[in-house]
Amino acid sequence: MINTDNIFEIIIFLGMFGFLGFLVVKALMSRMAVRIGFRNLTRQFRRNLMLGVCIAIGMVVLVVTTSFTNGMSDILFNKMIVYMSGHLRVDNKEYTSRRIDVIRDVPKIKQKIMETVEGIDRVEEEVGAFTRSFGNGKSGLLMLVGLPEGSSFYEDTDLEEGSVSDIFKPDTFPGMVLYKGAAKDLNVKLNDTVKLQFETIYGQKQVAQLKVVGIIPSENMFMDMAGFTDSKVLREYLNMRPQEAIGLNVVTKFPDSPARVIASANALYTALVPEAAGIKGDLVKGSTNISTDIFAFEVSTNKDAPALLSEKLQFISGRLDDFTSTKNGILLTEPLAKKLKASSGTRLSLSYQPKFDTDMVSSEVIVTGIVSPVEGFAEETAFANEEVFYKVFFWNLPKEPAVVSHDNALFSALLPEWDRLPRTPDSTSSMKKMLNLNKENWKGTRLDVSSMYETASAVIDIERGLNIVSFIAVLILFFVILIGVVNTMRMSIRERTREIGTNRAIGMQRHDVRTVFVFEVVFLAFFACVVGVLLGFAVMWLLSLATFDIPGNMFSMFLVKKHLYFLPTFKAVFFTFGVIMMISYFIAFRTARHAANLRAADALRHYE
Amino acid sequence: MNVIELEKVEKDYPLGATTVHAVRGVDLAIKEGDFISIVGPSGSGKTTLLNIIGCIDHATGGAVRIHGEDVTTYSDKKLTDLRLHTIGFIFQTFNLIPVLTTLENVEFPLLLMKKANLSKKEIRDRAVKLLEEVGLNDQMNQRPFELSGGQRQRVAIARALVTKPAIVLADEPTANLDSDTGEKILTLMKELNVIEKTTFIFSTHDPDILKYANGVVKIKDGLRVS
Ligand SMILES: Nc1ncnc2c1ncn2[C@@H]1O[C@H](COP(=O)(O)OP(=O)(O)OP(=O)(O)O)[C@@H](O)[C@H]1O
Ligand SMILES: [Mg+2]
Repeated sequence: MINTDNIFEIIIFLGMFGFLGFLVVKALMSRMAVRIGFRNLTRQFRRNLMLGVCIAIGMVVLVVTTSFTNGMSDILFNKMIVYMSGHLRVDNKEYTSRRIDVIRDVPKIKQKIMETVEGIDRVEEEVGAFTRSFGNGKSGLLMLVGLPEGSSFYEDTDLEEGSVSDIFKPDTFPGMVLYKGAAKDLNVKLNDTVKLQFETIYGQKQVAQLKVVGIIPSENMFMDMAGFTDSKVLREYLNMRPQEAIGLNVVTKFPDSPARVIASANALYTALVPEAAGIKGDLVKGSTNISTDIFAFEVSTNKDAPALLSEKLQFISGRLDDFTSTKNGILLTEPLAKKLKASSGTRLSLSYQPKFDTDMVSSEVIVTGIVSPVEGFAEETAFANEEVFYKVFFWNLPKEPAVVSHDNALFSALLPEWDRLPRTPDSTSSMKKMLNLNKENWKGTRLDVSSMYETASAVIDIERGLNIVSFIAVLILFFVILIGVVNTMRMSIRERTREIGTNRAIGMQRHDVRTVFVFEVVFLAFFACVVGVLLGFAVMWLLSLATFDIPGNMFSMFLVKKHLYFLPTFKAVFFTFGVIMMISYFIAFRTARHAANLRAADALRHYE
Repeated sequence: MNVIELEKVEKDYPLGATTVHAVRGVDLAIKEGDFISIVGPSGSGKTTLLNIIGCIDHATGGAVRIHGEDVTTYSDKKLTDLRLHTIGFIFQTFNLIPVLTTLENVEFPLLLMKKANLSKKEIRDRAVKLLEEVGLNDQMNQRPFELSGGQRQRVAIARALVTKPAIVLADEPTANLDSDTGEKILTLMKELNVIEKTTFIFSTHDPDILKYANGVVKIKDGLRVS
């Protein structure tokens, strides 16, 4: 798939290849000039060596810094953010009787993700708790993460002690694996137990006791706070059912392409357009049991709903006010009321088969009005006060949902299966959005689609900051190289003025005079770059030998196993190489004009 | 036919607020195969005149004709080509390219003749032949700094002649050599003048070497006096 990021990259690379090809062709075309240029390197050997060393050092700095920031991005995107929130995340805020942050129908949302997100590597169901943990006389904060059996994490992680499979072995206490740092903080060893205090998703206090069955070598400060257990076990402790998750984290194959991740988030947001919350269920009065579609009107949470309802609903008996003010009120269409022999004031039982449970769900409702059949709905339809749905619908989603067209005149007054929180571009606006949500008086469910550029923008900002710093360093280096090249060339041109005059007199064209000087610099830059790359790798190797032990420092976030982490890529090295060659070439080209434009007669008279 | 014709050639150099009249209306006609010497005191305009004849400097007045063609309006590129194919240069200070060997220095002008499409072997053969003619069989692969002054000037002569030019210009070719060596160089030039039928013009201070010339142009203060 072609993407705008890629096009830009491809253009740059084609440009670089083109440029290097152009140099080769040019060298082949004026072999004599190139040969002289090459041999001229040996003149003023010390000066050229200095310039070469300068360029080589520049190259070393560039290779090392780009590899370091690359390594940082790798830690950031492929290690930290993946475990925090994925590259793309969907979560859900629910407010029915209290605030609960949980996705109730993971399979449904997961399917939408599969259908819309491009380049999915995996979708992870987040099951986790922030715990206060007690080990042997020591306590600390531990992020307990539930991962299902067979999760790639278990496969990819080498333990220092113990065995991952013990997590899933039945034992007195469920097993968990810990990072060594966390184990040290809690003063626990293999086979010790840890007591963890946390809250269920409903906010109740919960205590669990887990046994340490494995220790993972410390890799990164950020991850040193984590412990892992079976998600099945943790779900139970958190009072979550198997189809529920705190969030769905999508790991994509393009972590370093913001455009793609954001485009996917936008596509997913669009695809997650909600239906009306509807149940194909039964209304029961005594022994009469009628199957019908049941929807709910947002009578109290939607300001515009009452006006719309009073305009579109034709009351045969009862009044809209009675309906809106009765929390378990329900409206029946006339044919349905007839079948049920119900009138205003009749008590009915609403019951339906839930999607994820075998037991029927039922709730008491009271008829607060009879209305004429409404266009676009079945003849026999019931409309409940939204509060009825808050009691049953979201907690026990129906196996068979009732559906109605989005174009229906009453659609905007219907309670939707969810609302979508607006997309936000960064963490500041995302945070503001969440704060507003906490202040606001709302009910129902709010689905939120976010990309890592919102959830982790603080960390990404650090990375950006470092990128800017290294970019400035690069600019300074380029400037130094630029001055070095110009100076060296000016000196050479002065010293070789008479030689230039001779060559011009003998019959060398201006552009050949220029080529001699340009290629002297091009060769120098080339050799210096090659040496610089080799030295750069040596420097990285040396730097990654050093051990840093600075817990609690922001910087240590970017250490892997207490060592600096470099990730050189061919792309970055080639790019740097190309840029230095280009700069050298163009500077040399411009400066060599002085030589090419010398008048032969004057040049021949020149004396130092 | 005249290889070179100068007609009322003038050359002015602006020097601060004043103007130096280095050459003031010189007429000159040189025939094919001539061996001409330009003499005159220091500052009389010999080098300037040679530069104008050699198309490395523009006259500020008058006409310069090479093989009958007026070159005063030629572009730099065309003049460069003309020099490459028609004129050879020998300098007082030899002016060899220090990073090239003797052989490479002589090959150099031929390598610049891209349009002539000479093969590597032809180039090599011509350079070797000329170096043999100037007596440098054993110094082919040495660098200029390993050669004596006389040897360097022989290399320069070989380089000037390798393109088979119609004219060779030599500005005080013997001034940096002792008189013995200087005479040998002049003898060599004279030989080549005879063998190759190349026109030679050289400037000098030295009355001793005037005897080689078959024509002498005397100038003084930018004017031809004989
Ligand atoms: N680039 C220049 N700018 C100003 N004046 C110049 C320049 N070149 C030469 N002249 C002047 O032109 C006059 C002729 O100089 P030229 O070099 O032709 O003399 P010359 O006969 O070759 O002398 P010499 O025997 O010392 O080499 C001199 O007065 C010199 O000062
Ligand atoms: Mg002179």
